[in-house]
Amino acid sequence: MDELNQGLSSLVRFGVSEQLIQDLRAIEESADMHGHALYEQAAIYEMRCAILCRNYAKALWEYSHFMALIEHESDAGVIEFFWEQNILSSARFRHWLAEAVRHSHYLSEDNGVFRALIGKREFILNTKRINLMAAWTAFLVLVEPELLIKLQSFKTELNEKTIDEFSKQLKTALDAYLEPHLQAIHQQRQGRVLLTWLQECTGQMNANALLQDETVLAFWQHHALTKDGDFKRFTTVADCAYRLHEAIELSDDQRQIEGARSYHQDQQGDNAAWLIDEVSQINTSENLFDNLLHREPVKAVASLGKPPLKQIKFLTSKDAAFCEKFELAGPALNVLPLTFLRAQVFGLQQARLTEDIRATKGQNISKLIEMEGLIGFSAWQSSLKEQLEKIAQTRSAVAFVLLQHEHPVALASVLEAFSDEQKASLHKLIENQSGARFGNSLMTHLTQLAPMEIKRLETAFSKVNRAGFKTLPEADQAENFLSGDAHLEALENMLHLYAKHLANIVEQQGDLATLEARDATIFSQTFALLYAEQGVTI
Amino acid sequence: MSSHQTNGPVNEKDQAILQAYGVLTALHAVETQPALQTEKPVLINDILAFVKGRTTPETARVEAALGTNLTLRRQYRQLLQNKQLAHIARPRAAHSGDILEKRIGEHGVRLMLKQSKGHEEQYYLILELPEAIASAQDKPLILHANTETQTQRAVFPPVQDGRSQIILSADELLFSLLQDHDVEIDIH
Repeated sequence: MDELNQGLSSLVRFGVSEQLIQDLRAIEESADMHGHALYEQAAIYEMRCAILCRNYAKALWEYSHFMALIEHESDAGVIEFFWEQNILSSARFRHWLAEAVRHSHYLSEDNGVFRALIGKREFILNTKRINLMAAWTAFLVLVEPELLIKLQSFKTELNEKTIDEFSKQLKTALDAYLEPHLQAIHQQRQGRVLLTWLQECTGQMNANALLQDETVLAFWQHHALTKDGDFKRFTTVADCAYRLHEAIELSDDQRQIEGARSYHQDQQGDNAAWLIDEVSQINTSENLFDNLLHREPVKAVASLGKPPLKQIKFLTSKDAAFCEKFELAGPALNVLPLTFLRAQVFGLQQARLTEDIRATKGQNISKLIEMEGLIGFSAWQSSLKEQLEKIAQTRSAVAFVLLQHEHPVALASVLEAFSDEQKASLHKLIENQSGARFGNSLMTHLTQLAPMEIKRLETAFSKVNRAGFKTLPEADQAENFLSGDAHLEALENMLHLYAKHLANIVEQQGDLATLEARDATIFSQTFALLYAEQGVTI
Repeated sequence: MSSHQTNGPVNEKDQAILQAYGVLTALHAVETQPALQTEKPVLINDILAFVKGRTTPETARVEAALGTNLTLRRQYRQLLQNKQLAHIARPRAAHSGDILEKRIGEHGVRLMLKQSKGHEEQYYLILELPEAIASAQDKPLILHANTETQTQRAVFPPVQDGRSQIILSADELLFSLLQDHDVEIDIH
């Protein structure tokens, strides 16, 4: 699949749970007593594709026929058949069938082709499939622990109805089992529709180059009116694009890790060690480490909302909701900055439209389609700026709290902000006093040397009038403030980076007002097609 | 608490090193920190190997999982019942504090413990099969001893004259399990 369509492969890999990966890997790595792999790569590959793409109904139907026959015709039952008698290869299965045909009512052989006649149904047993059937059994026992008992029903009776019923039960069990282990089925489908359209439309197979703000917008315009995957809402398309981007990124990482692992194994790690040395020799490059920082997944809002940080109101509910949207977009933010902006601005307008249809039967539809009351790009950019200021203020308040408890991190932070003159003065003070005495009066010295900076932090503390900041917290709370600050810093970096990407785009494409006017026309036209007629489905 | 750093363009050399660093860090994490929340599954072929008395790299994991995972235990019991040679049910009454010397199962299968005369700590665990069963057996026999939570197995050499035996030390888990009045024994 990787060779055929790397993008689709990325999509299939995305959202697969660690446990499912582990289960499939354990089956793949199963070996006999001589250390030889039990299952052929082709069998593992086919089964994995079927599972990850949720495309296994036919496979399970075929499987059910094989199992019913083996359970019925073999004395030992399916499990011993595969792993005690070692009938895992086409040759051994063929040999077994040749014996079984002699006394079976259901089996027949004609020119080397084995058939099973069950009721009115004729089923051809492709002996090459036996290894795959064994691999499926290993997996399905994990999915359906009662599989062994259910198979026993074929010992006495064999008919089409019971086989079909068994197949359906397996499918239901597998559907339920995979629910928490794979990306939601509708999301998987939406991603596939988006990716396929992008690839067909652009003729580009390189998934990384496909996702651009304009192609995402074009996709929405094209699909808003179709039934494929419910793409009416622009925010749905944006979310789908974020997930697709993440899938591609993660899959690239996985491929790199796989590549590095095999390289590492081939070279006994010599080259890997050399590369690490090389990296350690680099002078701290802020660009380099900034990039590393921004590849890390951020879950700051969720962390700030959980105990013990929850008791300190680092963010108001409104702030948290604002920042959470950035986190949900994840790394796609910087690749699709305009898509994110459009989702915030025109996505909100679309929500107002659908709400109007629901609440007033569309009395204000035309005004809303004409973008009346739109909270435009500039207004949204201002709220981003305000949010950044608010986070900076909270961080200053945190610094003040930590400083009052003489926390070394806060002290270091203040020292970092010192001018050369201030640093020189501090050095003089240190030289004139013993270490212990200086330590005891450090706070006093800092206040004397940088009164403005300390005052700034104090003012911030007094302005953040939220839980946790109303009075100076106890010293045992310092670590919570420090953890909270790390999350705020992550959010601040993310918002800053986004603001910068947006500014670059605005610089390249004119100004924000022009961009907004152009987009408003596009959205207005599509909204008109979607909602101008009252009673349209939402 | 470091101040925000600007994110300027990354040159090619930095980009290459960045990628190498990212990959190697991830690789290191993969190799040194196996995922805590996932557990390697015990596969049905591993359970079958355990039932059949084979020792594989997975044996210890299977034995441990059988003590904690009820689903696996049910599957194990099902495989045990398949092609079982003999079953010795739980004793009907608790025995006295002495060593339980004899168990009699289906079809007259007998399991006996006999203390070694030379070494007091050692016992012969003797398996006696009636003629009808013994005549068909030319392979090693596997004894599975099970309580609700514990599982032990032992491999006996092929029967000769309806009899096979192994030496068991009094400090072995199987020895104490055989004294448990909840123990069920299956011979494969």
